[in-house]
Amino acid sequence: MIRKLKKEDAEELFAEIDGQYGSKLVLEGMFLSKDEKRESRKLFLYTGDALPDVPAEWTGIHFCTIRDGVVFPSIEGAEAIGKTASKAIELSREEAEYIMSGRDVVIGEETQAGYYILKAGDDILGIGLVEGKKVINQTPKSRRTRQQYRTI
Amino acid sequence: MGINREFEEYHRRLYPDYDKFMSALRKPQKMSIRVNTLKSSKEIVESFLKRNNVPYSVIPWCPDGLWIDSDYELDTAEHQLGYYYIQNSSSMIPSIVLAPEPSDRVLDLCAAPGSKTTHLAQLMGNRGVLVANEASFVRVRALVINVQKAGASNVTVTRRDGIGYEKYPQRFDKVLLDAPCSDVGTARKNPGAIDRWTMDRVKKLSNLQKKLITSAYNCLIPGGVLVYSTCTTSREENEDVVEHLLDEEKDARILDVEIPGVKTRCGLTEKTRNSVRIMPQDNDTESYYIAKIQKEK
Ligand SMILES: C[S@@+](CC[C@H](N)C(=O)[O-])C[C@H]1O[C@@H](n2cnc3c(N)ncnc32)[C@H](O)[C@@H]1O
Repeated sequence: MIRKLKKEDAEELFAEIDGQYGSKLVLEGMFLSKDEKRESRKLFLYTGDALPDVPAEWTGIHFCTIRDGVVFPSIEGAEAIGKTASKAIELSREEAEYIMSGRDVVIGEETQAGYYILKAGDDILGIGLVEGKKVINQTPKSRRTRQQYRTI
Repeated sequence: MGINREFEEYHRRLYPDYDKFMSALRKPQKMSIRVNTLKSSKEIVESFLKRNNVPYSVIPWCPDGLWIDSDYELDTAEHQLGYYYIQNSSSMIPSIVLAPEPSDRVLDLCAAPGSKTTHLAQLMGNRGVLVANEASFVRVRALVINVQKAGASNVTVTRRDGIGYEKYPQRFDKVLLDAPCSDVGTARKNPGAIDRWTMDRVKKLSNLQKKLITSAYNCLIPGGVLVYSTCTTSREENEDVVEHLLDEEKDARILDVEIPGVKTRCGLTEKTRNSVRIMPQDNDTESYYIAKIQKEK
């Protein structure tokens, strides 16, 4: 079942995103919620003028998954959140290529553990899980480049 | 590319310049990309290409299209982030001919893997209503991945047989029917299309296409526009399908197809002269057939 998120639920989501990623989200469009009863639910962003009355398999773009109260943005969700996110890690171009090919990356300094928005200049790559000096890859398999890289 | 006698006999009758057609089909496909303006810009993609010393040129008929004049590996981080879509240059034409507006309700009846759906979303600036339908379960997955990657947030995907789609109460301003076909036009990438070609298969596809075009037409509002396209060559899958619709539906009118920058040949029959054939030897592309039909008000 898919449901349109009420204004107050959307505001709660924005507050949650701000708390986790330090990002003030300004977005046009409506949020749709799927699988509400399950442990992890998915939120979709839809920017069409109206919802068509058809038996939909999929509507808009997957924006984030919420699991145990934690927000996991998709690459597209991260693109919106990352514009103003303070909880972000800046990667080099080479490191970005590694992340997009599904590899982990070792960063210079010890960083507080957790999920971070990954950036490389103006490009937002999605999120990564930081543990110590390592960024553990979260790029979905369907979005990885097929190019092979040696581990960095 | 093996020899398929049935294919050769048919196409020699169809094209007086058959040998030129075949030598164009034997050339490797010219790579091209469409800049996805929902996520990026031509400036950004061009500067990425320049940084990587990739020679490119602008496709005359598609402002966001670029030929890639090298065998550079296009599956890059930028590709996976959706900054550009790898798409044959002639496959960019049907969406341009349909010319959706941001306020339109648009149906893409046979949509996977989503090359045209994502192009339509970009032309609509992610507004309006865009329904992308696909019958195959496996191919819906590819469609959804491409919609997501492109950031095409105005798209609704359905998985239905396109025949009988009009039973859903929508009425669309514009419908694209990029029909399943014998794929001869893709032979530069996929030479097996010629080996597999039989008249029997063409006839079966033609029957399916006739049902699909009737369904697509019935989804239109009065005044609405349908674009019918295939990437193949047979008259049975192209002009005959459009004639079938024009004969069945008294309020259907065939419109001119104008595509600045593309050399086209006109449709093969009197009633379909306004439709166009795009030939590989004329534009260094795939083969395409495109017809534009309006439902009278
Ligand atoms: C030429 S391809 C479409 C390509 C697509 N428009 C694009 O640009 O990416 C035709 C598609 O029609 C689908 N198809 C075949 N029969 C169908 C039917 N009866 N209803 C809906 N889709 C169908 C095929 O699975 C295939 O994905």
